[in-house]
Amino acid sequence: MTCREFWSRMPELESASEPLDHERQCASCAALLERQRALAAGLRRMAASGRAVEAPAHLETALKAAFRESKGRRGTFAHTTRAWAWVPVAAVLMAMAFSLVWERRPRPLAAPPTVSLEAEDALPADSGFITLPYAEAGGAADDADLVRVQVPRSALIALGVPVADGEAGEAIEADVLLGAGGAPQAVRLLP
Amino acid sequence: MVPDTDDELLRRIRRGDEQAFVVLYRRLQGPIYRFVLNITNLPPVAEDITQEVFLALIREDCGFDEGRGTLSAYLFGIARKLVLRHLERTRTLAEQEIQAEEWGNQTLAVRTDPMVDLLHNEGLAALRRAVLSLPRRYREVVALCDLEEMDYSQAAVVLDCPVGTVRSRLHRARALLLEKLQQKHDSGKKVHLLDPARSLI
Repeated sequence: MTCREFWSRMPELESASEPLDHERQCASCAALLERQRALAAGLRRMAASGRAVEAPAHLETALKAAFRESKGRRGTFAHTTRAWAWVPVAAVLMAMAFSLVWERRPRPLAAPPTVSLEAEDALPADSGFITLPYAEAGGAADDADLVRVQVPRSALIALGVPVADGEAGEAIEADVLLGAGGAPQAVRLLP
Repeated sequence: MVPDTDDELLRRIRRGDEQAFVVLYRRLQGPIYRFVLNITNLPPVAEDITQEVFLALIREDCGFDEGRGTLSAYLFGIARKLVLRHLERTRTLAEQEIQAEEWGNQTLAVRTDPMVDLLHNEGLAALRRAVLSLPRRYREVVALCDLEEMDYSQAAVVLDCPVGTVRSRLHRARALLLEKLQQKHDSGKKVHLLDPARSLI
């Protein structure tokens, strides 16, 4: 091993407990390595003597206070965020509900109970349908369709349909009566 | 009872567990404070930077990524960046280089073989001054690997460089320290007996 090869293996070899081959053969490298080891020992002593050095105690107190403050702020923020988070969610659900009603091509049920719809009083009293506020008074028809959909509770509330308390996002199965133009006229909640 | 790992403590901290924060702080504040102190030699700066490091940990957007290294290395990395910013802002580095030059002209406590003298307090004081007089990139690797006994791979994460660079910087740093200590010993002679790094690397 040449001197260059020997030193290229530093600093790991400094900690070798046994004399190295090259160390035995090369007096100058041995002397230099001895100094390196003494330096390493000095650095270890320096490290040991510095172990007791720590940040001032008041720093811990200040950081604990900062942690509590941050935690409190985060809690408030999270609560507010959670509350407001429902607004876009509700809006999306409502949009989905409307899109279901407006855009999907009506599919007749297996036994399509086509209902003639002219106005609220045109509906059978015991049908369970609730007329929607904007139902066409004279709309009508023979070609009205009934579709079964799942509507978010929040969307039904927004339409003025009385629903039991529950999660706003929960889907409720309902029959929607569509007018001739495809506009929803009445809704019936399914048990 | 097995102490919680740093990562487990961090998970608890993110859930708002103050006790976990205290445990982690007590575990890491000393090494981080000493690391900064060993580079800047300024206790108020070490205190400020230690505080900043842990405030960064408290913040919700703390960008620690477990895949890139340990939490400890991440926090040391923050400390190092703050040190660099401090040095750039205050030009402390330049001042310390000047101090190092001045230090080179002082009469030292090293009276016999400087290596033998490292076993005594005077020798340690001389070594401490020699470390502080190293160029920053060598000082920080000595502070991490020699004084905080961090392994090379972790030091590489902190220093944002390859492991091989850590090794070569450490080797060069030790050669420089030997040179400085020997220079003091031979003060007045202006003969550089030891320059292993220059001759061999």
